[in-house]
Amino acid sequence: MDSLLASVRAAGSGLKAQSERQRIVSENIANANSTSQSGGGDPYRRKTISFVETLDRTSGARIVSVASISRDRSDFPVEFDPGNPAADGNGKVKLPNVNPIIEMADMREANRSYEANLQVIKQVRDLVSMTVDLMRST
Amino acid sequence: MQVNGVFGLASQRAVWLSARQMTIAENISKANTPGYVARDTEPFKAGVGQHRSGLAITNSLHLQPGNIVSGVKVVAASATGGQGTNVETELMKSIEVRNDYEVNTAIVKAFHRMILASAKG
Repeated sequence: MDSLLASVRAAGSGLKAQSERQRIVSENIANANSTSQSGGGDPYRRKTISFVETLDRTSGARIVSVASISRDRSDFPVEFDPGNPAADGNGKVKLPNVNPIIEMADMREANRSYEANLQVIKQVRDLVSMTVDLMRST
Repeated sequence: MQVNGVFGLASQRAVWLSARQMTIAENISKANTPGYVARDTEPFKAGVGQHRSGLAITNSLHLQPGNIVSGVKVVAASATGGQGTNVETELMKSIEVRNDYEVNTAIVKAFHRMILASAKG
């Protein structure tokens, strides 16, 4: 496939990857306080996403795709709250290992990468339109 | 330079610029992928765009090996003086590509107009 159109394919895969990442970040933020239903159980565990480079067969472009969505294995922070339904025998409650500040920083980076990919698509569209303009008589 | 030489050269330059644009797009889309090394095309000179290998010689629709894009060789960016995947650097490179492409198409347009003028008499 023509290089310029293959560029759109590569940038489109970047858009898709960054919006997947955005989705994971919003799930983490939304569940930042989701404790377990039963006493002493595990709360929401933070999700992480990783990307990998793959080859797109139709265009020959090297695109990006989601390698895996896994869980952050770090420890849960523990709070003393005996009145909470999720408290165990000692009154300790395990909270999700989500840090909203880190999630916000992740979200900003995802945003920036998304915009950069959008710029690439806009530029390719302009380049193609310049080429087509060659056919105009003036 | 002969007129038909100009059109041939401009066409090669257009192919090189599209290959460069594609490399830049791939770099930007992989800005957050661990272990990815940014790539860039070889510098432009006449005759670039003629690299083909193996099957691609028989039919250009065959998949070319990863280090050749539309017949243009692509190398790791550090080999051409760059450094890693930096989104801002890639965006600046894409502005260069855009300007070069505009100049290229303007040259083709101008020579085309000259040919038409001489043909119409």
